[in-house]
Amino acid sequence: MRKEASKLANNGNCLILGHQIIRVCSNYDNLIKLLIQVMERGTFSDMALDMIAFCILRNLIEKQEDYSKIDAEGFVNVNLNYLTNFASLFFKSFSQIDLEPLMTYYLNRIKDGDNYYEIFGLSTLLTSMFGF
Amino acid sequence: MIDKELWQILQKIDYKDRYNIYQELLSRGYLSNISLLNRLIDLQPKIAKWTKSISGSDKKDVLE
Repeated sequence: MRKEASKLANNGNCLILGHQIIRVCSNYDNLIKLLIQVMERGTFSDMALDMIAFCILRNLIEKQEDYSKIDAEGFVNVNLNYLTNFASLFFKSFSQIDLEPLMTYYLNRIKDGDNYYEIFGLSTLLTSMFGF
Repeated sequence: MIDKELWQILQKIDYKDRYNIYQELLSRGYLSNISLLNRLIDLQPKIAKWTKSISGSDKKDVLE
């Protein structure tokens, strides 16, 4: 599985694979750890991992409308929840990947106001990065 | 090999420019270059097959 992932990711098409990984992870939280494990131990090059970080940000921007909806009980969107869990585990596992774009995005969205659900993402990310 | 050299260049530039390159690659790069497009068309089923292979049983658990 890891060999196949390495082949798919490191031939310059990781943007497409990243899009698929994000799509899967934002729908099925039980696959998050599995996919992170597949990416570990040098399976993905640093460029491929950076492309996945880009895909995370792209997904957050593209689906802003969906993610801003709250459910009947006042919880944030379940897909956003899964995506944030994936992002936090991803950046914790691959600390060499540039976190600045995502942090800048969160800070700008908070400045815009009325984007409470972004605070949820930032909080999860920080909690995970500090090792909790 | 070329990936490593490309990354050597990309990692030194500002993230805004780097992400612009990725976006361009996604939105225009594949459509304007026939060999990249061919590769993309070939790759998509392989990626779908790979995600199915790792997630088939787990997905069932979630859906049930």
